[in-house]
Order: sequence, then structure tokens, then C-alpha cells
Amino acid sequence: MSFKAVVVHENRYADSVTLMGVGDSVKKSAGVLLAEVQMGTPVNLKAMRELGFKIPATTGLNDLIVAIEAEDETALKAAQENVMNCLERKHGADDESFNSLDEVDIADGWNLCQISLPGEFAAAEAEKAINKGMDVFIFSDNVSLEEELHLKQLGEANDVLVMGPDCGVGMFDGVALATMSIVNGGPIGIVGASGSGAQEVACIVEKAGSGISALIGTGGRDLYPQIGGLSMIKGMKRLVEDSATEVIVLVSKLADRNVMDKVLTEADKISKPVVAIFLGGDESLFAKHEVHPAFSLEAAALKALELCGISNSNFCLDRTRVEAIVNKELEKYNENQKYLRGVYCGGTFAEESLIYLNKHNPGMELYCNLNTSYAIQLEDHLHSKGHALIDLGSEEFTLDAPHPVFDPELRLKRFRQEAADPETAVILLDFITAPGVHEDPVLPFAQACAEAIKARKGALTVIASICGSANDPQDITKCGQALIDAGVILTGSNHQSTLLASALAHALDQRR
Amino acid sequence: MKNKCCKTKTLKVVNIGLQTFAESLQKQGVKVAQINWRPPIKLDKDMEDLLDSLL
Repeated sequence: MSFKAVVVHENRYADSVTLMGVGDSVKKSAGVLLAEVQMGTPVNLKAMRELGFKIPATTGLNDLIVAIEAEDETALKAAQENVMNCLERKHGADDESFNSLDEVDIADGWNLCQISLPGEFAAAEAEKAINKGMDVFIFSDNVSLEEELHLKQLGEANDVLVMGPDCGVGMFDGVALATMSIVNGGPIGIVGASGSGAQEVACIVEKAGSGISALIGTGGRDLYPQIGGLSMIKGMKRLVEDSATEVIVLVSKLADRNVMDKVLTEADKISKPVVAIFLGGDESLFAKHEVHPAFSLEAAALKALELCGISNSNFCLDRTRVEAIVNKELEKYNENQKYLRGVYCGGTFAEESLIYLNKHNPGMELYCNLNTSYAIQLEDHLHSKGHALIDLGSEEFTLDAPHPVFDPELRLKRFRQEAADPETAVILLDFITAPGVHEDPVLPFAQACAEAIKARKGALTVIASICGSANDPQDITKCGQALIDAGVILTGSNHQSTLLASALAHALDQRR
Repeated sequence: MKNKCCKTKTLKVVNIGLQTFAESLQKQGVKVAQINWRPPIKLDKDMEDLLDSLL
């Protein structure tokens, strides 16, 4: 026999990540058989009723429901109390809080509003914050293009920055927002429409011995024709006014040609040197402009350092080292091992690698789960063939599982799958560390790499880079050392990893 | 004068949504206020029409 109880906390909201954590914690309590802590959305209500919980008909969207099944009444009562303690602890007694943005007075110094609500509610709150004169950082996705344009035009009118929607990274005054790494301070300011691309530039700048003044994310659609690069241009102007910024770097994927041209024209007018990268773009984009072009994220970071007068000559992977690694690794493979496999968590890194492999290996048959002009799309995203790069952060994977930067489990499984494929010779990995991502994104992989390399008696090459800062809580020095100890070739950037993987893939094709 | 976050040295953040983001900022020593946000009440179409006609 078991005991079930439902408590409805009317008009109380908690976000899904918080509720997931509270639910997981309660499920582990002694005597608890089932625990659901959810907001009363129709889907949640239906699921809880199907589990046999009796939920009052009046329960709705604004109510928080705690539904527990336990072995006895004591366990049930303890679990109910545990839920409320967890929720109260999340709202620490000393933390400042408001019931709505209407209560916020910017005269008290509140200068940034960070929004990560479900997309349908994000724009309304962003509008309130902009009207108050606050910069806004919108992590939420599922905000329409029309709403994005409206918010960015309103931002212009109020002279505030609108970062996002779907903006994952930002950094101001040495403070990392959302999933950004805590990069050291320095003279380089970055404006990025590609979040992980901008983060990679920032982290390379730090690895090469310098730091950044600010990183302004714009959201991935800022350079769409409908938006016209409003936030990138605004961000660039903000960095011109910022006395700590000496050089500005603009980072984007290849975008609308007219918008890229408009952004570069604005960049030509400003008084500070500007480096720009449009991943996948070519020299012709820059033909009529004074901006310094870059064609890889690493090159953008190194150019910015050079313009600041900071030496970076030791950072690059030289040809001699690449050849030495290729020759050594090639000797290990048996005749069945023919292919390179990339198992990515960062979409921009997968794209950067695709662009490089495509450009430097004409005629190479390259597969990918993404619908992209740089590769043939895999028929089945769950099974690789040939040389293949898989972005585990893309929608087909994240519909049923958390994004791999928040939960590495699915990517770990895919890594093991690729490592066990007898045709795999080389595996390419990227890692992202930051306060806002998974607390241990690297060490489980280091262990899996050691096991996979041992299982193949050393005949497997794993190449990896870590996009992160020495200040991140994950300790990238320890992470890097664990990868090296596991037999992984650790490089300084995703570009270096790709360069090496490309040389190996080319040599494997030549051998066939 | 408006506050501009990369001009001031004291970033003060109002967080609406994921509590983990507020905690991450607090760990970095930033002053953060959480909004106790609630979804707006959704009216059904008949009720909206009725309110529209009354107001």
C-alpha cells in the first residue's frame, strides 16, 4: 500500500530548471515512490492525472503543484516539507526581490535586466525594462522576428542595448552572463551574433595572455535582413565609448550580404581598429572596407591581439607539429579505420570545422546531421557514416534531452558509439566551460576517452579543445590535464583541432 | 543619466526567469534582484470579447 497527496500552491511560479532540481532531490528521499513538482500547464496536469494524482479542476497555469506518492504517511509529510524547504532555499531570505519590473527603480543603480522566461512572455518583460532605460539580455528563444525588431527599435529610441533574443553569452565589468566564461579583463571588446563563436574568440584572447573589456551578444538573428544588425551596430558604438576597449572584434556566421556590408560600413566610420569575422565568408566581403578581416575565430583573436601590440606567436599550431602528429597517428590505424567523426556540443564549432574541412579538402565526402551547404545531410542523425560531424546541440537531439552543455550524457553516449565503430580512426571533440553550464563537462569524457583508446589498443586518435577560462569553476587546467592523461591530443582552439583532424582525414583518404 | 553597463563599474542585475543564472551572478559578487514572476492570467476568447465590449 502507498500514500498519495497533492498540494496546490496557488499563484506561485518557479522556473522549470529549479523545479527539475527540486523534483530530483525529493525523488531521492527515503520512502518516496513518485514525486512531481510542476507548474499547472495543461500538459503537466494531464501527465499528473494519468499518474493517478487527484488534482482539483480549478488548478491552472499560475499554480505550483506538489504531487507525491510515498510508502507511508511520515515519508509523505517529510517529502512535502522537503519540497517547500528546497523552494524557500532557492529564494534566499537575504536576496533582494521584486514582484514585478514596475517596482524596479533604476535610480537605485539597476542597469541590466536578464530575461530567461518562456519565449511567449519574454518580449513583454523586455519592453518594460527597455522603457525604464535598462540594457536587456534576453536568453529566451521562441520570440518572433517582429517582436525582436520592435524591441531593438525601442532600444535605439531609449539608447539601451538589446542583447538577444536567444543570446547565450555576455560579459560586462568582468561579470559573465548566462553561459559565458569568466574571461580575464583586457583591451579587446567583442560584439557577437554567434554566441559560442564570440566566446571562443574571448577564450583564445585569454589563452594567448590577454583579456577582454566586454562581450556584447546580439542573438543569432541580428544580421537577418529584417533586423539589419541593429544590436551589432549599437554594441560597436557602445564599445567605442568604452575607455577600456582598444580594439573591437565583430563575430558572426555568414549572414545577409547587405546587412554585413551595412555593419562593415558603420565599422569603417569608428575611431578604433575593428576586426571582423563572418564564419564562411571570403575576402570579397571586405573588399571596399577598412576593417581587418579574419577567416577563423582563432585568426580573429590573434589579429586583435596583434593590433593591441600583444605578441601571440607561440599560440599557433605549426606545420611541422601537424606533420609529426599525422605521421605518428597514421601508423596506429588498421585497414578498416578510415574516417573522422566530430561529436560536438557547440553548433558554431561544428560549423567552423565543416567550413574548414570543406574548403581544404575539395572532393572529400563529408556528412553532417545539419542541413548545410558544407556537407551531405545524414539520412539518420543517430548513425554516422563516412567522415561525419554531429552537432548534438541541434534540435533533433534537444527535443527529447537537455542541450549537451547542460547535460553531457547524450553526447557521451554518442562518443562511445563513434569510438566503438570499427571504421572510426579520429574523433574530434569540443568542450565549453562556464559558470552557467554543466559543473563537470570534461572529466566524464576524459574517462570515456581513456577507456575507448585502451579498448582499441591505442589505435584511436581523439583531438579536443576547451573553450573556457582559467577563472571558470570547472578548472580548465585540471580538465585539460585529465584529457592529456587519457591520451587525448589537446589543442588551443577548435580551429587547431580541425586543422589537425583535416590533415589526418586527408591522409586517411590518400591511403585508401 | 542612463546606466550603461559597460561604462559603470557596478553592474546591478534584475533577473527574470532561471534562478540558476541569478545564483551564478551572485557567486561572482554581483548584486542581483529576482523578480517573483507569474504568468499573466490567460482569458478565454469569450471573456476577452466581453471585457473588450465593457471597456
